[in-house]
Amino acid sequence: MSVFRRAQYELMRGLVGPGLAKADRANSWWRRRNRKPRPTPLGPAPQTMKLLKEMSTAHYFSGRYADGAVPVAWVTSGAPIEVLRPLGYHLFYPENHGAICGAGHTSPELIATAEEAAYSQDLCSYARIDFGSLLSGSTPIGRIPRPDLLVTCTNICETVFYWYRELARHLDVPLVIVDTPQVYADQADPTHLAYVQDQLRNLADVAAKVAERKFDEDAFKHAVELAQQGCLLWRECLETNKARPAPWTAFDGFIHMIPIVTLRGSEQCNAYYRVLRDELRQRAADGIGGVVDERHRLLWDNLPVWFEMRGLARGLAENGFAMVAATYTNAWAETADLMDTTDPWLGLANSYSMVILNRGLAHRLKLIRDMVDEYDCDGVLFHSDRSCKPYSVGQLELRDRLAADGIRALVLDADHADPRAYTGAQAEARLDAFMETFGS
Amino acid sequence: MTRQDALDAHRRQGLPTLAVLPIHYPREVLESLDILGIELWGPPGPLPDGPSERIQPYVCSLVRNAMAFVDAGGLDGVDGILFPNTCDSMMGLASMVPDMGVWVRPVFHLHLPRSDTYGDAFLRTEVERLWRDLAEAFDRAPDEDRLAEAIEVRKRIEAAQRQLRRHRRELPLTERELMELLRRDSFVPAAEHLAELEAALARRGEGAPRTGPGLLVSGIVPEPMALLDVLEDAGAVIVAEDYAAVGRRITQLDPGVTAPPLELTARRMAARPPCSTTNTEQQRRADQLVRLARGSEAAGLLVHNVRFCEPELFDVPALKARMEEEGIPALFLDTEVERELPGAITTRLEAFLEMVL
Repeated sequence: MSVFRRAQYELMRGLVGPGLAKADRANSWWRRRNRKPRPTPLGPAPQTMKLLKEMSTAHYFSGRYADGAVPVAWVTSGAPIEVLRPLGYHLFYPENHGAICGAGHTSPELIATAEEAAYSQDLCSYARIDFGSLLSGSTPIGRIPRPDLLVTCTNICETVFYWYRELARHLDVPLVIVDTPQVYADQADPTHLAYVQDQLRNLADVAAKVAERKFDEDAFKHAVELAQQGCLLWRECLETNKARPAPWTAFDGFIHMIPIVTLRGSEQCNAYYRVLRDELRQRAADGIGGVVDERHRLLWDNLPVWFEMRGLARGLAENGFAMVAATYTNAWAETADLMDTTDPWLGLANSYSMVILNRGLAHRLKLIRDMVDEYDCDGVLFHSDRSCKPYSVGQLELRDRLAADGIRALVLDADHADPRAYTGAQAEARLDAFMETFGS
Repeated sequence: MTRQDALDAHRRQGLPTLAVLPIHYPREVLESLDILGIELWGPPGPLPDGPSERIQPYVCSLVRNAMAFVDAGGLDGVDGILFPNTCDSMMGLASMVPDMGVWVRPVFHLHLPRSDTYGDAFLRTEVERLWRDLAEAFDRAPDEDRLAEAIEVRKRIEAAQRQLRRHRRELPLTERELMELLRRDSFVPAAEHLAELEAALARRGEGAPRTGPGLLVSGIVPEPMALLDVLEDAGAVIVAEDYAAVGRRITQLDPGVTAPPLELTARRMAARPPCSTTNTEQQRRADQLVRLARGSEAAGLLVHNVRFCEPELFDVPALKARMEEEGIPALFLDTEVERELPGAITTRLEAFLEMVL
């Protein structure tokens, strides 16, 4: 790692990145200064959004200068990154990048590139975006740092196992697979947890070797403590939506989850959520809602439809519907208590094994019922996500079970990042019909 | 002997039966406990009410058909189900079936490790767990000597399977007949299956040898078998085969290797040919296909995938690139297992065969 590259990276991360974000904010304010605010059914966005933009800009901007400066790992959203924190890795999340491309409507071009290179349309759209970006060098974030290490964890799907295997073929760098056997019972099997722990220790060994650094157990323990605090703070943010009106929506949550995914295990992440939590609590106390006229409350299941999120949020809000919770955002809070900081290896193995997508449908049904109850939801919107089989298989059954409980639920066909799998008019008609059943 | 015959005969003896979902599992473990495994690959052929409406249409037909079959009471005659962690959709099914009250009899899971580093030791643990769980659930005595015997029978079955493929040109069987025979390993008791394989081998040399150009086929499962008829009609001979349901389950471990039975079972599983659904790098699979093509002097490769099968689809770019490098003509097709071969697929296949044969 070059000293010059390192200095450049730190400069971009600490100074230039945040500075650019501030300049962008000022520019944005200047352009809008004379514009009359349009009437909107959505409440004011949390002020913390500005801080989030600064953090995200700094993270992605510094990423352009990361390779050669610090060790770089490409990781899945469910990877145990606490192991990498003490080794100073810059982390890049291809799924997160896929979401950015989806939300920014740049995904079709990248997907087309991947499909031309024989990646089937029936593969996960995040993966196709990733391969499209890799093959074309094109990305809306300027530049993606080349990895020294790939880390995939099967706790979110098997797809990431195949996907990263393919990345390793292209990039010719070490790949560490953390394999978390599916938990069908209430608790993970001890032999399975021992297997996961062995793999976590192996990850530490490989990552230390790649980074040419010694693995510091105390620093690792501290990262686990920070990660647990971060997840608990994130939970507190989510739980503010138990108030009526809910101070923000799950659609806002999809955006504000960036730090808990990408910066988990850092003080920066936790500081961010303290600010957000305090703001949300204040909004709840002041009666400021994420939806101006909240009359009905819904729960979201599955990943967001990134390219249509704004339209969905607005369409629902216009009819008085607030999306107050999501099983997806909850995933980064749900297993926080299992991060046993007295035995961090076991704690990590357990918390990463017990995430929603690594468990059976009985757990999911109970979780949804509990969340509907706790957040006082009137219905559930299931995003049947063509690109995410583990989240989607079983949803039709879950819908029917909820219907039997008297909970209204709708299944909406879409995809998290490929707009071709979404028919706006059809979705709108189905949503309208669904909303009509609630009356005014 | 049909599936139903096999099931009925086994049950008449008062012995347990187990439905097994695709793909990889240690059949010798079941056989050592006198459990008849009946594999559920679809099932082959259309279902009266079509694939399950309880699973979205973008999920592969193996999973949707299996759900429909369970719903229709197709597994009422078996005593339990085994789900390996083959893919996301299969694991979803593994949860739906018991958790949604569709099935109340014992359910078993087998986790095949994805980790290279600790996978071998873990696989040994999983195999033993399955062996003990099955024994306990069905009141059978787990006996290592019985397992060793079952392994020996398996080795003979695998040897016969290899011989049949090696001497394919001298066998008086159509492609469909041979494939159906090999697929019977998914439900016929081991001793009977070995006998029928050996009977087929004894027919070597009957009739004129098949002199048509050779082809290597790969994919998950050979259904719809109309595809084999198209190959046959074009004069092609399948000289090497890499279906996950057939060839990829024949271990490459030297039959002379000795070890305690549970360890040997795990090692035999770990030494199966590269498969997209196990912890195999694409390059190893590509190497294996090149080796098969060269070794059998195949004129081309046909990869016959089940639509929506993610593990296989992720391998396609690597396989395409490698076959191009090697100058091996290759055709990649997606089909639905339960449907007839669509006309467009037949046309593409015929055009490919005209080119390579």
